[in-house]
Amino acid sequence: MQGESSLVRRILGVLTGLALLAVTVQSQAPVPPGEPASLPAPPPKDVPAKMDGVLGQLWTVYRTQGPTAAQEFANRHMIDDWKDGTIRVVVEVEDASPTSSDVQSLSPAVEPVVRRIEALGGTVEAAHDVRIQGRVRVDTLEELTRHPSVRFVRRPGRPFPLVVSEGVGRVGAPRWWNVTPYRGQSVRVAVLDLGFRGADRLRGVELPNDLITRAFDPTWWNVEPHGTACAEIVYDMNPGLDRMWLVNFGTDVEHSLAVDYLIGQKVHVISYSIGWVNMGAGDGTGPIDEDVKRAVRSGIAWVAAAGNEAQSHWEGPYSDPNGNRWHNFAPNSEILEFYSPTRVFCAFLNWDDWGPWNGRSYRGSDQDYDLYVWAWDPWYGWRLIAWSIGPQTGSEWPTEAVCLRAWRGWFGVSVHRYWAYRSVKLELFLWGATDLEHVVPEGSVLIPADAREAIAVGATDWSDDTLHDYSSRGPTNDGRTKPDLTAPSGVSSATYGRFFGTSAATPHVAGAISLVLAKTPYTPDQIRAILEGRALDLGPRGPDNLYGRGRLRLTP
Amino acid sequence: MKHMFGLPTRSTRRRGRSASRWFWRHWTLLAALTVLPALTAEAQPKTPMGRVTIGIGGLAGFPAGDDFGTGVGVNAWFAFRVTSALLLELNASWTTGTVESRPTRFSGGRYRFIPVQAGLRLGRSLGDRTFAYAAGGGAYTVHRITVDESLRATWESLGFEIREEVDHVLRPYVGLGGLYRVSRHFLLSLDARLVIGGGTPGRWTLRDRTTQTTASGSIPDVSTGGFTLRGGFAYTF
Repeated sequence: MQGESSLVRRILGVLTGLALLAVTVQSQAPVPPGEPASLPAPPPKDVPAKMDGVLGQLWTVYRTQGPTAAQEFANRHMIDDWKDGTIRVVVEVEDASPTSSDVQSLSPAVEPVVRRIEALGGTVEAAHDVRIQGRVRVDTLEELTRHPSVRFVRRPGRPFPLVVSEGVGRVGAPRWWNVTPYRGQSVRVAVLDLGFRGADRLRGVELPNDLITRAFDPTWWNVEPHGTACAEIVYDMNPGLDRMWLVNFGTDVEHSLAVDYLIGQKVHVISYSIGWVNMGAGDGTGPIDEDVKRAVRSGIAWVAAAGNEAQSHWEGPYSDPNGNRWHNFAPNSEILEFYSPTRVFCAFLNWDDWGPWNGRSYRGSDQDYDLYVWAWDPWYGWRLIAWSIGPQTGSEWPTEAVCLRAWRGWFGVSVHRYWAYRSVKLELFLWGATDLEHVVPEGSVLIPADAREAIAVGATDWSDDTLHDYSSRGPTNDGRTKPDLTAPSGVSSATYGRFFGTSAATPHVAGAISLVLAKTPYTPDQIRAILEGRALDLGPRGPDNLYGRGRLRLTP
Repeated sequence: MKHMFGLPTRSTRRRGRSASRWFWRHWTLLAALTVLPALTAEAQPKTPMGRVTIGIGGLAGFPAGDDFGTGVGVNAWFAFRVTSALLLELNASWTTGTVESRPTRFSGGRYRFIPVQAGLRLGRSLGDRTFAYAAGGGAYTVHRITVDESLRATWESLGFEIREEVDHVLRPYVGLGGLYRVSRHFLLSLDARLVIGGGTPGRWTLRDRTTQTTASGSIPDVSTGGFTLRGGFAYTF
């Protein structure tokens, strides 16, 4: 009897083990699940206008389910700045007058909105031109949007960071090091990034002794080491630098203030290994691109990472053959599937209805599309788990975004046409995602690498010049060729050990510009022309959307 | 109507600047015709020079200002005796020396100055072997600057071409000198000259050979004048 019982237990144990193994294999293996022929209708849209989608949901959750549920929602959607029922937002203020000065001051329209924020119990942290960054109580969000000068309330734009480097020798920099400067100048190079953890430790070794630091977001300074790794490469390229500016920021408003600071410091080169999505039309316009233009007008060379998004990008015209308002990424494919290996991912949707850019704001969109996120459940199929359904009523941006703390497994995104009278081109970026079901590498260049004034840099392997498959590609949304150059990646770094990505490539170009600037009398514009002219042409002959003009080469 | 000096009076109908210019031109000519015969008419020892004299020699150049160092060169000249006291002269010389390297000026290397001078020598014989003179006229100088070879080679290897230049200029010169006849046809010559040449424009150029992108700038007020001491032989006939 005891033997039979033991046998049964063993059999049950094995069966349980097999079942668990099957579930584990099904949920972890990169084998994409199937999908239904047609998705069901989405839930009702109940978020207020003049607010971005997730912010609107947060306000709704707070109002209907209370602060605890709202805090849980914020945590799951990676709204990390939740604090005692308040949240950090950016308020876009209505001001139709064009900008004039290079270093922008506050718009007069800002003052009444600042007073309104404070009257509602909020605090203002920073402001730039027509944007106010502040902390407001979630329950007052809807009331704030009713102020006549408020165009749009959104979460702050958050950039994403995209270790002697072997690329230095590859591009021929050492041959310049001992050259007597021919009417050179004292060169000022800045690395503008999210954080500089460990920079002090590398002072005088991997970085110049004299580091001029400025934190526009002190929280992230000692958390994120990305800027330190980039600065290392700039210094590897130009060890003659006796000082370097390290400046950080965390939001788009802080970004503008940081750029104003660097213009005031009269820096010559900005190394910028940061990328943004949903912060502009991808045609060289928008608040971040405007910062680049302002800097370049002041004589600064702005070197920007093209992005690492070639394999996590999809774009194409809205298509709905079965008329159910769900966009088809391909015939019979209304869900764009992807795998999340890190349990954290973000989906960003935008479409080409920004309206004209007047130098400080877009007109706004009245074509309303929404973004839905699905999770694959091996027992129940696709489950709707999150959405961004901000209304587009004429003043809001044509964007939706969802960031989630979820689990390792298969997910999908869908785009639903809520209300629109014209077809649009949709664009999706999926960060933290792999094995995207449908990939469109073309047009994956990030902001501000899309700016005409920025020198956009793609990534090639330092050892053999092959293009890294993740390196973002052009063209821009207005048809221009990007990137402008490619540079080595996958190089050694004291910070990271091995540093991959266009983030690593960018400081090679910034360092090269600083080197030529230090040794010659050329202006940044002329040096850009020289570097583009000397680049080692790779890929299709002439400039192309993979390599630009080719791989950085300092010697002919 | 005739002019008081008996020259034709085409200007009787002229007015203002034209008349003034005519007056000075003719007055200068008249002065020359009047004064020079007077000089030559003076009783002088027999001149040691024939109608035509050709000379060669060496020179030491001492440029004014800080842009160029002392140089050496060669010189050739030709003189045509109009009267026993007046000679027309034509000089050409070639001087080379070091360019001073200074941060906001030139970057070093060598200069070559090639002045061609045309003017007059006015003098008198001191005995039948010696002729002392004062000279003056205009010097058109070709300036060539060669950037330091190692610097040039370095930039060449990086794909750039460096050039530094000074404008060619016409400047006045004055000088003193003497000739000493050692045989019937051969003379020894010694002369010192000053070219008055400040404020000549100069420039530098850096050109990328790949893209032809060029950066350039000016080097203002290059002092191209200076003192030269010349000595040599001459042949006269």
